[in-house]
Amino acid sequence: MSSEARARRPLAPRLRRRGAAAAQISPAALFVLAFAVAPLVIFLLYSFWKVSNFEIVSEWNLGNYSEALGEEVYRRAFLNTLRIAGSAALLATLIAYLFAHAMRFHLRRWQEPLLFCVIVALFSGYLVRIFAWRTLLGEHGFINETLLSIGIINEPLGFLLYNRIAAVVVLANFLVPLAILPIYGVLQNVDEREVLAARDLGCGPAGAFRRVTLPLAWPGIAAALALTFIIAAADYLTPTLVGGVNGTMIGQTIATTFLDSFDWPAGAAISFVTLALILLIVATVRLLGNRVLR
Amino acid sequence: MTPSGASVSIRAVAKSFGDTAALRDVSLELGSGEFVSLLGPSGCGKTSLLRIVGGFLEPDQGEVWVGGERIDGLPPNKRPVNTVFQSYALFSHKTVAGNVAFPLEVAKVGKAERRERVEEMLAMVRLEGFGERPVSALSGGQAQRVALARALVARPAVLLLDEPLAALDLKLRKAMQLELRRIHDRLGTTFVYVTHDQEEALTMSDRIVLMNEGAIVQEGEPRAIYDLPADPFASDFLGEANLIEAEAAGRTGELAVARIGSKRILARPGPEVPASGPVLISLRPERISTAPGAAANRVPGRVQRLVFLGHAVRVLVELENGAVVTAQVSRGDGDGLAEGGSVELGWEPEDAVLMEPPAAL
Repeated sequence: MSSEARARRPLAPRLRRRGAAAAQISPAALFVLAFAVAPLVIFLLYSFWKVSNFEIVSEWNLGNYSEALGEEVYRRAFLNTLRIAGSAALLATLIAYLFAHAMRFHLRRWQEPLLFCVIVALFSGYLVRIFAWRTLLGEHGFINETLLSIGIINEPLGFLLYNRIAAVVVLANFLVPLAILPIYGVLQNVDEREVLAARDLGCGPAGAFRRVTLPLAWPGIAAALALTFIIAAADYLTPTLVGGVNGTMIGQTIATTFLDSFDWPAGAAISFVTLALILLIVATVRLLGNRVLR
Repeated sequence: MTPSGASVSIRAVAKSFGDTAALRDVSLELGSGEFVSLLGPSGCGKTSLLRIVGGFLEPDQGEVWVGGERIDGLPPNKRPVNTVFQSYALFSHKTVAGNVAFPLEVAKVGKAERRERVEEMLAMVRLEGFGERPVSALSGGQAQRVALARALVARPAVLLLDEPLAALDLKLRKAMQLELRRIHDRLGTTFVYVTHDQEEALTMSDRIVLMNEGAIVQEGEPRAIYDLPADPFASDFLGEANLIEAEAAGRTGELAVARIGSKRILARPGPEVPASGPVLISLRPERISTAPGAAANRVPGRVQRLVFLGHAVRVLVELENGAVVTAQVSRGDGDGLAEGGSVELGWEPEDAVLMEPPAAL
C-alpha cells in the first residue's frame, strides 16, 4: 500500500486501534516502569552524587565516573570481564548452535525430549551447578582423583580451578541452555528447501551453510550472544567461587563497592559504565554480523 | 547469449523407499534442447526421477548421464543442472536481484558481468525494476518468475521444473505456460517438466512421458499419446476417455474387430491387444457423433442425461449392454436430443483404440 493510501484512511478507527493496543500493553509497561526503569533512574541520579560521612549527599559531580573510567583496578576488572564474559558467551553460543542445529536438522525425532532436557537444565540451580563444578575440578575433585588413581599424574593438578578458564567453563555451562532457545527458535523457521536450493545453485555443504543457513540463523545467534554476554558480564558468583585472583570481574567490584564500602554513588557509576560498555559491544557485534552475513 | 541444452540419458534407474518401489527400472533418453514433461498422478515416481537427475536423491540402481558425462553420485552443485522448486525456495534474506545473482556469486563471476546478467534475466522473465524488492513482497506469479530467473542465470544445460505452476491460479497458470515455452525456445535449454496436470503437459511439451506406479507407461508427442493411448490408464489420465467393455473378434487389415453387445465395430488395435476375449475400447467423448450419418461404427442407445456446457453439449448415453458412454457434441447436434429419447452414436475406426483390460478386471 502506498503512503498516500494509508494517509487517506479514516482517523477514528486508527485511534481506536491505538487505544486498544495501549490498554493491552499498559500492565507490562507499568511493571517495567516501576521495577526496572525507576530504580535505574534513581541510581543514575546517585551516580552523580557522592558519599560523605556514610551518607549520600546530592552534591552533583563527575568524580565517580572519572574514577570508574580512570582507575587501574576498575580498568583491569573491565578488561577481565570482557575477556571472561566474551569467551563464555562465544563458547556457550557455539555449543548451543551445534546442539540446536543437530536438533533441528538431524535429530528431528528427538526434538521434544531434547528440548525438555534443555528446559530442565535451564531450571537446575545455579549455585548447585557451580559447586558441582568445584567438586569436579577441585584439588580433591573427581578429575584429579580419577587421574591419580589410574596413575596418569602423581599429584593433583592445581590449574583446573581458581582461574579465568575455570570461570569461562563454568559460565558457559550455565549459559548453554539459555543460548539454545533463541537459536532453536530461529532455526525452526529456516526452510530446508532454501538450503537445498543453494546446493542446487552451486554451493557445497559449507557454502550453503555460510550463504543461507547462517544468515537466516543470525538473528537467533545474535540474540543468544547478547543474552549470554549480558548475563555473564553481570555475574559475580562464578568468578568469586571458581575464578580465583586473576579472574576478578566487574560484578564483584560493583558488589563490594555497594555492600562492603557502602559507596552507592561510586557503585552506581561503575554499573552505568558497565551497562554502556555491554550495550556498545552487543550493538557492534550485531551490526558487524548484519553486514557480513547478507 | 546462446547456451544450448544437453541430452539426458537415464539408464535403468530404480529407487525404493523401504518396501515401496518409487521407480522400477526406468530408462529415458532426452534430446538436447527438448521440452519433456514427466506426467502422472501423485506417487507415480515423476518427482523422484527429477530429484535423481537434480542430485537430491541417489538411485539404488542405474545411471544418469547429461551431455555425455555421468552425473549420478555427484553432489547437486557439481551437476550442470538447475531446479525450479515447487515451493520456489527463494532465499528469504535476499532481494530479488540478490536471489538471481546468487549462482553467479557462488561461481565467482565479476560484479559488472553479474549485474548485467541479472538485469538480462529479470528482463527475460519480465521483472525489470523489481531487483531491489524483498522476496516477501512478491506475488506468487512474480516469485515463480524469480525462481525461474535464478535457476537459468548460470546457464545450466538442463533445467528441472518441479510442478512450478501448481500454486498459481488458473489464469496465471495459462499465461505462464506460454511464457515458459517462450523462454525455452529462446534459450534452447533442455527442460524437464514434472506435472500432474495433463493440460499443462499437452500445451507445452515436445514430448510427454506418462508415468504410473514407478514405471513409464508411454512416451511420445502430445498428439500421438492423445490419439493412440497405450493402455486404459493412458487413455484415462491424458484427456478424457470412455472405456467401453467389448469382445475382441479378430482383425481385418490394419483394424481390429470387436463386438459391443450385438454390434460389430472397428477400431485401431493397441499394443498387445488379444485377438479374442474381453477388451476395452477407448473412445474420446469429442470424437463421438450423435448424428452418425455414414460413420463406420454405429451403436444405438438411450439418452440418459444432457449437460449444457455453453459451447457444447455433453450427452450421457446408455448402450444396449448397459454401458454408459459420454459424448461431447456441438450445440447444433445436442440441442435436438431429449433425455429418455433414443439416439444412435457413431465414430470412425481411427478414433477408437482397442486395448487389453487391466489385469484386475
